[in-house]
Amino acid sequence: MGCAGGAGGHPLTASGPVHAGPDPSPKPWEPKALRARARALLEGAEVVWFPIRHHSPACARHVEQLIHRRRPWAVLVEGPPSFDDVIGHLIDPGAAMPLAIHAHVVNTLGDGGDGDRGGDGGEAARRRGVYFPLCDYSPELVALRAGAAVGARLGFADLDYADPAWLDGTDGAHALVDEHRYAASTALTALADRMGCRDHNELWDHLVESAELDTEALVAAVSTYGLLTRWGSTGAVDPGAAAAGDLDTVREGAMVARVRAWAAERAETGATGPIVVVTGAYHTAVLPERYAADPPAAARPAPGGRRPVAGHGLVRYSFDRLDALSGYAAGMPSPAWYQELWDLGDHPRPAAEAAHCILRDVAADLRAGGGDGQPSTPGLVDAHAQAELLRRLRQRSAVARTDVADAALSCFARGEDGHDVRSALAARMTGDRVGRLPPGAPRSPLAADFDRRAASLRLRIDRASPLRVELAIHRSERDRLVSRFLHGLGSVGVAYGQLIQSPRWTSALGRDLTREIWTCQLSAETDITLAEASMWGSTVAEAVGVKLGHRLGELLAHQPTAVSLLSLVQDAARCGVHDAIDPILASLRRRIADVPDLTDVAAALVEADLLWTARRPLDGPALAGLPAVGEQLHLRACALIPASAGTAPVGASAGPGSGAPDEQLVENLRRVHHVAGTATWLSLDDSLLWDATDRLAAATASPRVHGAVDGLRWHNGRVDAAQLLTRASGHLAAADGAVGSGYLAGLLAVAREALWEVDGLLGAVSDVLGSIDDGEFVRRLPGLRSVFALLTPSETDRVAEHLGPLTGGGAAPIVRDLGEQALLANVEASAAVARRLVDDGLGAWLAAAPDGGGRG
Amino acid sequence: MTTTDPPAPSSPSTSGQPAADEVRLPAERRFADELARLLAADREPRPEGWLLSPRRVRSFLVGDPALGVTRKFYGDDPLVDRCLVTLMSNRGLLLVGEPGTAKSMLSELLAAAISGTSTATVQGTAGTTEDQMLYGWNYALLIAEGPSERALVPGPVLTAMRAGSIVRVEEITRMQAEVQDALIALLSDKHVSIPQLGDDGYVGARRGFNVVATANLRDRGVHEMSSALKRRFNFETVRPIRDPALERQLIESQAAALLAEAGLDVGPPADVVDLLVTAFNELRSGTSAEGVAIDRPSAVLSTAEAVAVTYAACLDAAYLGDGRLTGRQVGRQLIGTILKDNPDDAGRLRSYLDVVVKRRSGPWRDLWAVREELGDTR
Ligand SMILES: Nc1ncnc2c1ncn2[C@@H]1O[C@H](COP(=O)(O)OP(=O)(O)OP(=O)(O)O)[C@@H](O)[C@H]1O
Ligand SMILES: [Mg+2]
Repeated sequence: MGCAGGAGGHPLTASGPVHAGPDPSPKPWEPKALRARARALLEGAEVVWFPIRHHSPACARHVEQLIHRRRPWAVLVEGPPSFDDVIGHLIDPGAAMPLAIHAHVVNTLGDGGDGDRGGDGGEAARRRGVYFPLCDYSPELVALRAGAAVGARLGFADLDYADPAWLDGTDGAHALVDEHRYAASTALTALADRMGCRDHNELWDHLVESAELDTEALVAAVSTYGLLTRWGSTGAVDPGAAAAGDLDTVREGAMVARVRAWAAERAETGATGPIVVVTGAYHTAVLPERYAADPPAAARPAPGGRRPVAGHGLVRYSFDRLDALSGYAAGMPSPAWYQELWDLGDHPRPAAEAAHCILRDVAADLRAGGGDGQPSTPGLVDAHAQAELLRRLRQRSAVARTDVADAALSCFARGEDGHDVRSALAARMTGDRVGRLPPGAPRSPLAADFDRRAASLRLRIDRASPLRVELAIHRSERDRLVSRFLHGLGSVGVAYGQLIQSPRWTSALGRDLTREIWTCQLSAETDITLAEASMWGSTVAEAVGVKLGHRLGELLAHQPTAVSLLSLVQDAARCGVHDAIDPILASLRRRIADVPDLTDVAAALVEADLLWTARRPLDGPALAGLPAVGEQLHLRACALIPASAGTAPVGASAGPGSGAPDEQLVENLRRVHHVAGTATWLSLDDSLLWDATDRLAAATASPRVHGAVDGLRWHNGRVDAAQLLTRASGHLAAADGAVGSGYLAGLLAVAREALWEVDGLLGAVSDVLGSIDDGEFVRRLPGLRSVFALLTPSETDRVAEHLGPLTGGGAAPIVRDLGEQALLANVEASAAVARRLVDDGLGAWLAAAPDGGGRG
Repeated sequence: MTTTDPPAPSSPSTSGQPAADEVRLPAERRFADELARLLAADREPRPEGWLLSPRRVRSFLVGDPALGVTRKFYGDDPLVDRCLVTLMSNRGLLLVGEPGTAKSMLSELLAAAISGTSTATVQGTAGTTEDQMLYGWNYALLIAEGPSERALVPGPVLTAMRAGSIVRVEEITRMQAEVQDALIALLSDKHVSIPQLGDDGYVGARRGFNVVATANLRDRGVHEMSSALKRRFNFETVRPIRDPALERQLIESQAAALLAEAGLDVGPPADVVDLLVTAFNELRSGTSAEGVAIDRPSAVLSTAEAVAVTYAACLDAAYLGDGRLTGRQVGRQLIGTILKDNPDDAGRLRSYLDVVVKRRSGPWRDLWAVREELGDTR
């Protein structure tokens, strides 16, 4: 296949579609035209346009060959030109793929005040992180390496990543590739369907990777892939006329401008080699026409307003991540499969050999997993044959990824579903490769700060094994700093430290629970997540503060609960962002009067109390605003409590344990009274809470709430034991058994010590039980059981001690492992026997029996 | 029950006697035209003993518009490829899956297209014997003439071995373990000896012979198969169709085919099919389109049931109603499908009607109306 040289001139003229000869020109979608277009792309004397798909080994191989053949003056690959400064590191022989170029941009949007955080304005900037992952077989990387080998100049061509145009459509972190267009293309989907391929990835393998094409045929196929995607998404059929989204138009304008600038330089130097431009096929579908047609572009007007803050660097990447990208239609799946294909480049039958390796490893993996019917050696042979037969059936030149997967499924699955085969396959096809940065590659500012901080805190950075870190945060200032550092990293999503045990603030028990225990491990994931966190700031402290401000902004935008704001305060304190605390407390104070929900207020009170108890290691002074919040919460609780009467059902119908509103109300009461009774750090007006509680009691008919209110009164000495006993007996005697058990449940929820401290209370309970018949007992049992289920084992023993003398006999033996079902069955059976005896005229036997009730 | 039919691999369209009153013709007769067209167009090499090349068999299953061949199996084309390739190999094919996922249909279609006959079938039950699979004797002749070819009554497996065709073993896991294990020798040695016939008693399988077995996952018998037998099969799991659009397409085309066979040329209206697909999906998944949780009936609600309900509802409309299919007929059939063995299912269906269907309009109104016919369920 010789080069036509300049004989035909540059066939891609400004007039648009390709003309392939003197005949009436074929339509652009006809094979002849597509082939002619490919030839034209490749044989330009000034510019060679090479369409690719990211991470395609076939494209990589052919672009490499082409560069060696054409010996270009320059190689330009798709990507923001600011990345030019990492090219040297990328092609450094000390670098091992996969690596990713990571960039972040912060665009402060016009208004939004001056600060990033503070006030209710929140965070008024758009932050964006992008990845540009590369593996050994990425055509972009291969083109750069080959370009370097033939002495070409190297560069990137695309819209710069800091350009505000990017921000219109995108936010957050994402990959800088165009794969989603292929997945979304209706044309490709239809074609896949026609060709018997399950999706566009299989179609790609079928038409390109497994097709064993020469360079021109490959470029024709890849270029058609791009054209189809373009046509499919716009409905236009003329590649020159195909319009794309705004961002695409702007990006392609930038690519063209970049190529033109390099072409001008080339002309000045009088170089003869062409410029090879390597871009995604989607863009190559229009670039030559735009290059030929556009007048030299006027410089884009500089974006007005603030300059974006931006930065980029190289990070280690992993196959895991790369494969996960395919889940978001942002990459080709199964990197380890394509790596095999690439590594076997010189093998006479790379795909067959790669299939062999994968099937062998999957079989070994399954065998190691044990289980019956693991693949035997003949099974492996069969799997090979199966893959080969599938290849033939599907009419491919070489075995494709899906053929290998199908063969493994057929031949290795020995039960329903083949789940183990699927996961072994997925693991092997994804691979666990992790990249290595070349010596001297700059770390991103955030990663560098991470290194510095970790070193100064004497955190051993050991890649081999996880480090266990115990922090005495009450005693040691250094340990507190480490704790803040680790919490902060977690808050911005950096994968480094994992909290194994946190101190229990409430525990009055020993000091041993006051330690924080972490395991820390540096991994590729740390590097990647550090890069991702770069968009929040260039030091760890800055990133943590900005992220916290961002979270506050998001919370405030959606009617935050008091508890959620307090947990943000807690996070701020833990991460050591002390100056963020006051603004959060201030916005909480502004909201408390409107908090509609007693549950939220009660939980916030408890949270505030915990925070105060733990304030020393968290840095007390920063929490100075907390008492004012606590007092306001108390006031709000007092306002909400009487109004909660309506939320409890009027009847006594709701059974215990049903999570009924009155159960929640009792819990809220307990919490508020508990904090009010114990939090000496708050100066509270006691009478307000009691007044509220009394009003609630007067307004509600719920026995559970009455039980709770009486319990609180007794506990706080507002009624004495005798008064409590009278009230309790009254409820227990009610005809509706649920009134009694509801009351008891409420009482025990707030003051279970009443059971053994109030003389006669247990007696009253036991009297009631003695006076009812077995049928009624069976009916009341579930309610009673759940009331007593609240007790701890030692409390149960205590109750039994008091109960024994009351029922005659000594302390009653307790049958703990008797389930409720069994107990009920026993009682029911006894009752049935008794009925039969009476029916049979043998009622007298009953009276004679030593124990009339049924006891299992 | 065991049936055999002399295979006629070379001329599928004329095999057997035409029997217009048979309830359901075997696939090779129902689709005789399609098979003939595929055969005529087939230029590709075929494995020995195969009637069609693998690609044409594939077309028979997944359709080929250019040849007027309809799609018969929906939702998993790679599965079809895997089945074909397995049948070319020396392993048997075992299709496992939930009830009603078209395992039997696949096995019938594969046998019809590969061997030209799908009737060499062993129906697995606890009572299936080795004799029924392989061969038995005509005792009158045996006594009169002694053991002879004439006195031999070949079973489906022997027939398939001699003809070099596919034998189908339905519900393999329901057969006794010893009977299952008789297949091991067959699948590995590919021959049987009939000792009574002496030297003539050696029957080697001709090329093209293989086994397609099916097993239902609700029978829970797959685990108990001996590992020696498991190793001789490739397992393929047939899954329920997950894409509602595809299921809809399938229901429409299969119901139309059944109706045409029944001599009716009415198709179900689109909104009624929509209703049906939606209702089946909601009852299967336990959530309504609006996200309301529904108590799932325990009855099997596979695509097979959806097709059957559509077909029966169309017959109901044609013969008992005014010919117009509405949600009402669908509802009646749904009741019949759901109220099978679990009495609680009636309550579940009723609450689905009350909670989900009642709020909807259009044909859903008619569906709700069948509530009366549910009778009183506590
Ligand atoms: N994926 C599918 N493609 C085509 N038809 C299907 C599909 N799934 C279900 N069906 C329909 O359901 C019917 C399935 O019946 P079939 O008896 O083959 O199922 P089965 O899997 O053998 O069930 P069982 O386990 O109860 O024996 C087919 O005849 C067809 O109408
Ligand atoms: Mg079946």
